[in-house]
Formats: sequence, structure tokens, C-alpha cells
Amino acid sequence: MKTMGLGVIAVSFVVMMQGCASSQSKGQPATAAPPQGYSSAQHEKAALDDMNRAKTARAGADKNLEILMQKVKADKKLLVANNMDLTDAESRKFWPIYDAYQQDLQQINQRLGSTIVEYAEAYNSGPLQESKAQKLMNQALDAEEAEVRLKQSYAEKLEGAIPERKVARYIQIENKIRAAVYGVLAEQIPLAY
Amino acid sequence: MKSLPILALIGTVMFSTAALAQTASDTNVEILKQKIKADKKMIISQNMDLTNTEAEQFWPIYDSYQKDLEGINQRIVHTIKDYANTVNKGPIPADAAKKLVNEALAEEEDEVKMKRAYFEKLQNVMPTTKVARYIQMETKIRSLLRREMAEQIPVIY
Repeated sequence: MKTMGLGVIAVSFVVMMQGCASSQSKGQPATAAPPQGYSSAQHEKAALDDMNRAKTARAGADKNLEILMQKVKADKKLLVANNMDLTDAESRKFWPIYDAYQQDLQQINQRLGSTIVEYAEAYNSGPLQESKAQKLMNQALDAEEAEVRLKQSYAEKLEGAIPERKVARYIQIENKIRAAVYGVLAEQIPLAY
Repeated sequence: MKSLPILALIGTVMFSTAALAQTASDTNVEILKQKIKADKKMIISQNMDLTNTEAEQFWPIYDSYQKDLEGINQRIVHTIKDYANTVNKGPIPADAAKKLVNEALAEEEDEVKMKRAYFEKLQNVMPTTKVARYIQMETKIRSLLRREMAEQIPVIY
């Protein structure tokens, strides 16, 4: 049976966390060189050292992921800013709404992320249980529905703040970014068996 | 999943439908659409491992889902055509922009709701794991289609 690698999950996470197509990156697996040539008396200490090294490496990978996520977030904001041609007055109204939207999207991303992790765990440990399939599918559909509703509510909020044509353009940009993210997820997440 | 690249064509077809609707290519587009429909059915059938009993119950529901999806596709194509016409006439008026956004969002919402309804319907006739797999395939196909559309449709100015 093929396993769903951590790399897939890392990539999925990164692209989901505000990702846009240009910012994809493969998760670097955290590896520490195994110690060689220890005598038996040193084994226990070596094992402990190993564990600590792995822990540090994992913390390092988490930190890298965090940095990458921050960069992707900044890239997205820049991309939106470059395409919106906002006047000063529009900017003052647009960006707080944008930030609130990103925060709400972040929560949906986290729901999707934990669904993917749960699926990966189930996928890697054998045939998918009926109850698990039901739960995961409901979570995925809930997240998808929540995202559409969120988009609708922010489109309405923005209509009061900037010209309609710019609202439409912004929603298009969000759609393009999310479509790229979902495209990656669709390609990478294996089918349930 | 087997033979996914073919599905990129679906996007092409939706666009062809929008762009070429008034030309002599209509027949060709129709032929291509029929071929893609058959290809999709084949991919799904290859990945579903249905027993005979399951197959008897699955395919009619599948066909009715495809028909409903076709309804949404037509709405999307209509929205895209409207958009193309409006954009070609110059700066887009506020009410037209609002209408386009509302239509696009309504289509998206209806598609998600439809997916949930069919997920529930299918659970009555076969194991949830297989239903989940099928919904995954639909999601994969639609995601690629949406990405194709997102790449090709220019932003409003």
C-alpha cells in the first residue's frame, strides 16, 4: 500500500496557509545524521542524543514552515495590493476587512489541515473505516460550504467600502489563489480505499 | 487515480462552449463534450470497484448528478459569456459587476450543496468509503476545472 507522506501534508499545509501557486515548496524532512561507532556503554546516551537531535530538527522544520507561511502571507498581500489600484480612502476601508477575511480563512485552513492530517493517519494505517470516511467527508464538505459562505459575507461587507468593480476584482483574485491551492490538494491527496 | 490529464480538456471544452458558441464549431464542441463525458464515466468506473448490486444502484444516481452538474456548468458558461460581453464594451458598470459576483458565488454555493445532497443519497446504496472515494474524484475533477477557469479568466478592470 502506498503511504501518504509527510511531504504531501507539509506541502498541502503550506499551500493552504494563504498559498499562491508561485510559493509552493516541498517540505524538507528533518534528518539528523545517525551516530556511528558507539560502544555499548554509550548506547543509552546516544539514543537520548538522537531523540533530542530529532526533536531539535523537527522544531527547526516547524520554524521553517512558520517562516514560509509568513512569507506566503506577505506575498499574497502584495499580489492583492498590486492588483487593486486602491485610492487612499479605499485603502483605509479595504485593508482592515481584508485582514479580518484572512483571519477567518485561516480558521478554515486549519480545519482543512486537520482533516488532511486525520485522513493521512487513517490512510496510512489500513483500509478506511466507514465511520471515519463519514466523519472526514462531512468535515471536508462543512469546510467547503463555510468557505463559500465566508466569501459571500465578505463580498457584501466590501460592497459598502469600495467600488463594486473592485470588489469583483478582489473576489476574482481570491478565487484564483484558492483554485490554485485546491488544484494542488486535488492532485496530491490520494483516493480513499 | 488513472488518466487524470484528460480532464484538463473539460475546462477547454467549457471555454470552447463560451467562446465558440455562435460558430460552426458547435458540432465539434458537442462531439468533444460527449467524448469527455464518456471518459469521465470510464475513469470513475475504473476506480470504483463496484459490485454488480452496487453498480445497479450507483449509475442512475451518477447520471442524475451529472445532469444537475451540467445545469451548473451552463450557468457558469452563461456568467462567463456575460462577463466577456460586458468587458468588451469598456469599463464594467457597478450593477453588472455586482450581478456577476452574485451569480458566481451562487453557482459555487449550489455546487457544494449539490455535492452534499448526492453524498447523502449515495450512502443509502453503497459503503461510505466508496461514496467518499467517488466524491473525492468529483472534487478532483471540479478543482482542476476551476483552476483552469481561474487561470484563463482575466480580472475585472
